[in-house]
Amino acid sequence: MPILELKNVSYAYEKGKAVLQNVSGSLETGKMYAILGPSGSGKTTLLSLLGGLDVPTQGSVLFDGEDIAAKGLEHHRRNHISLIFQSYNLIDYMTPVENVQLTAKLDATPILERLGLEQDEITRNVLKLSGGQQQRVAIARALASDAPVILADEPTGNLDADTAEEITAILKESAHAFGKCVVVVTHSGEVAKQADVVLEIKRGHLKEREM
Amino acid sequence: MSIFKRAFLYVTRKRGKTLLLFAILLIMATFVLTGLSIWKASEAAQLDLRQSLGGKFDVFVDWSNSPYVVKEPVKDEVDEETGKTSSSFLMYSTVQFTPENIAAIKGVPGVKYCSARQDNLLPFDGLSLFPGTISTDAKYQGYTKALGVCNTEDDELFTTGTLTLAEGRHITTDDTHVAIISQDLAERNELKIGDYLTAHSYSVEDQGFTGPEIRVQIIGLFTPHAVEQFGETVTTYDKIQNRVFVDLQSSKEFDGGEINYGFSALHVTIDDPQDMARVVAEVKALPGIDWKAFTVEVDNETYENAAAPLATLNELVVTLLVVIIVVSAIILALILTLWTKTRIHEIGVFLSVGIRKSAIIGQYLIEVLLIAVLAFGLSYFTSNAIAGQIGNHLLEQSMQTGPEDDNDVVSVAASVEIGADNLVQKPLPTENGIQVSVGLDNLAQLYLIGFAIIIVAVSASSITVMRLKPREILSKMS
Ligand SMILES: Nc1ncnc2c1ncn2[C@@H]1O[C@H](COP(=O)(O)OP(=O)(O)O)[C@@H](O)[C@H]1O
Ligand SMILES: [Mg+2]
Repeated sequence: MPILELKNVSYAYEKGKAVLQNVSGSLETGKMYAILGPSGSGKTTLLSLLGGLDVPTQGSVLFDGEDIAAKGLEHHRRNHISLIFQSYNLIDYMTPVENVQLTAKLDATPILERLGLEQDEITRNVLKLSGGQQQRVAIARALASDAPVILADEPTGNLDADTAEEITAILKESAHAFGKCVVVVTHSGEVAKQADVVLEIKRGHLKEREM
Repeated sequence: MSIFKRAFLYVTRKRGKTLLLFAILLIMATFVLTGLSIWKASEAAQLDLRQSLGGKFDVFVDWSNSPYVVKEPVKDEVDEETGKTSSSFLMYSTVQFTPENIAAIKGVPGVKYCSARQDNLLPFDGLSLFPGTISTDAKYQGYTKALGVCNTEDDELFTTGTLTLAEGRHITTDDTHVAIISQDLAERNELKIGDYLTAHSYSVEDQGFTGPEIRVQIIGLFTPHAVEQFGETVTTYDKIQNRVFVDLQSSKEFDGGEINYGFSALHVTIDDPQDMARVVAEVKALPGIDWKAFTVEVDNETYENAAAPLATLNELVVTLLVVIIVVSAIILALILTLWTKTRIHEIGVFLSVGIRKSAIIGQYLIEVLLIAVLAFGLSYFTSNAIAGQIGNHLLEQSMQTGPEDDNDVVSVAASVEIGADNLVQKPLPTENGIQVSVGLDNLAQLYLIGFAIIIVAVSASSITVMRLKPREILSKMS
């Protein structure tokens, strides 16, 4: 049973210049998806639609079979999804624990520890954490929020190769061990290799790449 | 995480901003609180001035217009030396004020005293008087002034403190055949309370006090606050120590005739000169007084002159306060707008986790309020420290720039004539400057005004938040 579905979704910032054209597809929990595509192809736009940050020009996005617009996009954002950005994921005046507690429905500390943060690191000023550690906190927040979907927009874009690999592994674990539906937008082939399903955007169309 | 916890974390972790905002709010609050306290002080000074000056008006027979005025010729008098005859008239009003009228006027709210007198110039049997400094007609030697009143306690000479009752009791409306004299006169004549004074009623036939004997019992002794100064001219009968107060009944008997059954003039003192118009209107509306017979004369000029500089100060303070409030709101709104713009990423994270815009703005409001509560509290002390100096300075300024030039207004006000005998002068409260102190009532006002300023400023600065569309989050954050 798919948790998120795209039904004939089209999107255009300006009239006549469609970024996405008649895109359909479905996403399931327990899987990590990679969305590949060159810069400007519409990856972030697609993620915005999935995350309820914007509404499609045409078509609809369904969560659990229901149009996300039905209960309001805010409801969708608050309860169904967690967003992870390339950077600036964290509130700088909150410690890692507090950042996780911001939306937590689950206990923050064990999740942070499970993601490899030391006891002293989780109460430190977040700006004193490395990029990789910051992304771990962001993922921990996503996991603690208990939302079934994690949407990540180039989460490893700012990280070195080794750290990127670790973060990718954690995202994968989130899908497999925590049962989340993880959608990672990336242009990194390394990340895509770890994904269960790889989708590609080409000229406004979404295609599943055979592996 | 609750909105309060988020706000608390921001305020405690962003210490630099918190301190800066604290300083700004402290300065604003000090200005506002100082302004409020000076305003209160100037209002209080005005009230004080009004109450110390009081207000007065006289009600008397309208001799030129009243239909009740009667003019009767009296027996022609032949001057013994020149042999010429001079005819004189007796003029009186058939409508006069009664003790009941006085009681009714006293009952009008805002009226402090209402007094009236009948006066007779007459000799008392065997009473030795203090001699005056100017000689009078041979006929009036041994005469003194007897004032017939309803109530000595309400008489101007007593209410102004010119005279004080030293012994015995006051004359009241129910008394008949009683008198109050000066302690000096009593000593001079070896009289004491309980003793009697004897006089005779006026006889029109004899043109003198040769009528039936009237005995009045001394029930009180007064002492004057001051006697006339050395070198001041005064007749024997005007000398304050020779004054005799009697009840209305005795006074009427001294007079002998039926004509003067009441009073032809009243003197009314009111608590607050600002109430003058209302009190006069209410007095004029009283039943039982025929206003065709009387006219009212108000003298409020003293108050108006003295109040002018204070009113100017008051206007100045209110204007200043409004300016301070508006400027504070603008400055605060600008600073908060600037700071909100640096919080775009934070707003993005909040929106992405489903925190509502209203909750984000609410958090900003709570942050400022948290700091304001402390800053406003501290401003109580800072403004108390400077309020006094500013208050006095402002008063000096307004005194100099007030509408009255040359003459010092305060001295003009202080020389107001109080009491018929003009013996007493009261100092005005403004002579000591305005006492400014910040009260808890001002602090409460500050919290109200300050919170209103903050709500306006935060609302204005939250436009940045309101404008941010969720779809911009990802593009702005990456
Ligand atoms: N706010 C916007 N207004 C107009 N055009 C936009 C806006 N955001 C993105 N675009 C355009 O939409 C296309 C897709 O952008 P985006 O989804 O950000 O691509 P990607 O994330 O794959 O780099 C690009 O051509 C970009 O210029
Ligand atoms: Mg993008």
